[in-house]
Amino acid sequence: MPQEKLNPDQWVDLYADYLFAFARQKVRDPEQCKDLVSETLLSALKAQDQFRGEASEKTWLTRILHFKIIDYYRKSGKSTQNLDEYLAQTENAFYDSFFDTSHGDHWHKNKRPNAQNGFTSFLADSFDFQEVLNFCLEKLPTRMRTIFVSKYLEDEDSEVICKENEISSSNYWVLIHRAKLVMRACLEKQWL
Amino acid sequence: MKVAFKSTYKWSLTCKEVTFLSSIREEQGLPFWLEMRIRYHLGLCGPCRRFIHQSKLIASRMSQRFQQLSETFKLSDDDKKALKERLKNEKK
Repeated sequence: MPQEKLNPDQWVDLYADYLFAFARQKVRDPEQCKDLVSETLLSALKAQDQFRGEASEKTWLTRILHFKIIDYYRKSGKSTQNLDEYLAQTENAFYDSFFDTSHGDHWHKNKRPNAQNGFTSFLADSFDFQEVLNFCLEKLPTRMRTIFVSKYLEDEDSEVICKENEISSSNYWVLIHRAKLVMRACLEKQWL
Repeated sequence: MKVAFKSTYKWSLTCKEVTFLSSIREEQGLPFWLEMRIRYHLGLCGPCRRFIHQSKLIASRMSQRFQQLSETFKLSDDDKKALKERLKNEKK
């Protein structure tokens, strides 16, 4: 017995903004996001009989959008194409900018998180932090961003994220590591 | 999930390794000896302790983000109208 019923006539009024904001987290281009939202609603309309009422209407639509986004990345060849190669090629250049790779991989003096500054309290309780956070997230390379947002925003399990994005768990942890380093550095730079 | 990890040195971990392992540690914990090694490093290394602490703060700020986003990123009324129109046509 379905507990929830679908009301397609109200979808746009009730969920369009939410779905758009959701897409906007992972996809930079607003026009693309609009397309994704309308594709989602169209697919949902066609797939109404597959809705079993186990989840809420909103959750169901979000799931569809979620897979549309993954599809979009798959088609654009950005998400999985040669990830191994990309990570290997950029490894030295990337880590060199944070760690002293010729002297035991410790922090570069000017890159290490310092004790005597207000950056930590800025992270903890500044009011205009969200703006800065958005700015830095926009700057993350697409792949890093998708993974980072999934992990921290939707609080998903790493195994689920790996499966959905078709990446290995070792690549996943490398992307998280790099994203954390880049985000921290970017936020600190903005704070200064 | 098993941790695929090979360290540069026998006992001491580098800052690069510690910052890498910290995410795995947070989500699923580490094998005993690796945990001991990380604690040893963190006991001596302020920057890595701060990195972990600051990363956690960033993560918690991330989860507050979505609510604000829904206020910033909205579809215009025209967009919604067009969307409704498309859905209507599809239904016919």
